[in-house]
Amino acid sequence: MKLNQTTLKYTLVSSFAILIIWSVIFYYNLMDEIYDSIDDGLSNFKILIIQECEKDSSALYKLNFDESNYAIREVSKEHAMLITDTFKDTLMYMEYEEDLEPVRMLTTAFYQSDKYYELKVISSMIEKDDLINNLFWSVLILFFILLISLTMINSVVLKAVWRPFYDLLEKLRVYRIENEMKPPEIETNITEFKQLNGSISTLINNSKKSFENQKRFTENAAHELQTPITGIIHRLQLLLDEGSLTEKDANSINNALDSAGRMARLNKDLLLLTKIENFQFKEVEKVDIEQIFRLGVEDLVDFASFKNIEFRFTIEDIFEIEMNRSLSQILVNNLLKNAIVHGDGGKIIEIVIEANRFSVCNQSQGTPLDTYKIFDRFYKGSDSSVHSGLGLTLVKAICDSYLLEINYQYKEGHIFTVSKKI
Amino acid sequence: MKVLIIEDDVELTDTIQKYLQKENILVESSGTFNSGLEKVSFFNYDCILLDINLPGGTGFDILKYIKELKLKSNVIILSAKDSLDDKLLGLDLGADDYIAKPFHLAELNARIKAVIRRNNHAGQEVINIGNVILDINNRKVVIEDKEIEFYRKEFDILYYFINNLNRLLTKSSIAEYTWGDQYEDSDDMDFVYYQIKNIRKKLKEANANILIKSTYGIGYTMKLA
Repeated sequence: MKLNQTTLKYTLVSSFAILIIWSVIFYYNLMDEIYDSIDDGLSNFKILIIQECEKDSSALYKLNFDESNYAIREVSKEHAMLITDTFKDTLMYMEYEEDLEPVRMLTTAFYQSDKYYELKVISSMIEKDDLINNLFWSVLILFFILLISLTMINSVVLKAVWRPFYDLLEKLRVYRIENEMKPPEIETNITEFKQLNGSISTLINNSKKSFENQKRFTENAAHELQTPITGIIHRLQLLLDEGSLTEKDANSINNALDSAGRMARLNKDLLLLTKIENFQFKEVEKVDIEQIFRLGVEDLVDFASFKNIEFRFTIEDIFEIEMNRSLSQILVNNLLKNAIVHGDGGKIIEIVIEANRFSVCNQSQGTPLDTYKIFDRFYKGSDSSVHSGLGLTLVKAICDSYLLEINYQYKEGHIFTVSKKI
Repeated sequence: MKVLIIEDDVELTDTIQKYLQKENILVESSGTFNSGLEKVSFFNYDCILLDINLPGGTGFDILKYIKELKLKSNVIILSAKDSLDDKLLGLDLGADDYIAKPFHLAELNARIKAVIRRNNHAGQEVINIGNVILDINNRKVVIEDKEIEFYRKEFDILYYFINNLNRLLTKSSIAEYTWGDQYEDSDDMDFVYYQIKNIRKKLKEANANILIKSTYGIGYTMKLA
């Protein structure tokens, strides 16, 4: 959920709750005020009627409300004594509305010329359900007005207030620690954003430092290792070159030499892999993949024919890409080498080049490889023991650094497809 | 022939020296930037093996100096950093070749001979050994006035042997020489064996007076018959 949606959600829910509570309180206050005002009117009216009756006794004879709003009837003394001033809500038939309507009625008693009278004064009442209804709609309309205005205010305020934040977010999105970029800076007067920017800069600088350290360490480690490995290899070669060894000794030395050689290659591959993953191959040029394949095939054709394997090209289109030439050669040669090593004798390795992808397929009766593991470091298939296991990992790392996607599938052969991510 | 090694690793210098001495090459060495610069200024060498990271300076500066003085020495850069930048910069500055550590001594030997030969014959590289003539530029092999067809890798291996006459070349050294970085599989060993078999057959059929002998079962040595 986005920031403005979340803010809006909370604002709207809370304003809705406030509106409901407010309208309940408002309703009761309003009713209270209305009753108060009506009751005052009725009391006043009562006094006026009693005064009127004192002046004009004919006014006493009014048993029904009829056109006016009061009625008087004579009652016994005992009954009159029981009557206190009471206000109550009741219903009365209204000609105008042709229905029973709520009225407020004051019942009281008074004494005049030795007689006791009961007086009822009425006043038409506000219709509660109408009021609630009206109130409900008003609140609803108010809520919608709030909804619209809050949404608008929200988006304007968010845009204005959070602009530095989004600014920073976008800069961080494109930020790459391995490029020599300064940590992103934003212009803002808001303390929190300043702090955020500061924390991020510190974080980035620290990561950069450890990245640099790691890079230097890998380089130095590889560099420092090459020298002693070279020492071992050369000493063993000199020993072999002496020519005065027994065959047994020579074999032992040769085995040691092979191991040292393997170590050297592994070290070299690891260094290369680290460099690719660190994007240290910065020189790029437009590379025509077919040309790279032709070169690779030329280099490997003797080896392939030794295994009785032939290459076949299917060129549908030109595949061109901006990349480092040496890396493109490593990519292609590793795919080809892999295909020869795992291909069955007497079969064909097919190279298909299209505008947005190319694939290498070697026909084989073998079992499909584990799709999830083949690009892992040091993954070994079933039939090889000497592989450094980094060939396909290098291929994958190169693909990753040039926004290429590599896929493996098995269809009467192992097919590796490299395609441009669109 | 005189070769100078400018390299701070004593072990490496020692092994190279020992290996090259057998080829009747006089090897001198210097372990620092300054002594290297000194030797280059006062003496003439056929080939200089130059390390990049030296105590007191970088090999590139020595290379620049050599080129400024227009010295005739061939320069092969030895670098532990298998870095493309080093290689490109080195070759741009006029180095004749570049070899990344760790390397096989036999390969270094082959490279030294190749650069010296190239420069002495103004680029026209033709090797004459026994009754075999190798035309490097055109990748042709002529034995007893008859051109024999050698496949690409066969030619490479033959060339490697001829540059290392009388030296033991292990199978893995040959595989690495022919495959470079991609050498990794036991298949490659079988391939080497197969190639050697073919080369032997071709040499024999053409009555060449060089032959490839198997040594200890771990490698081969080329000898004059």
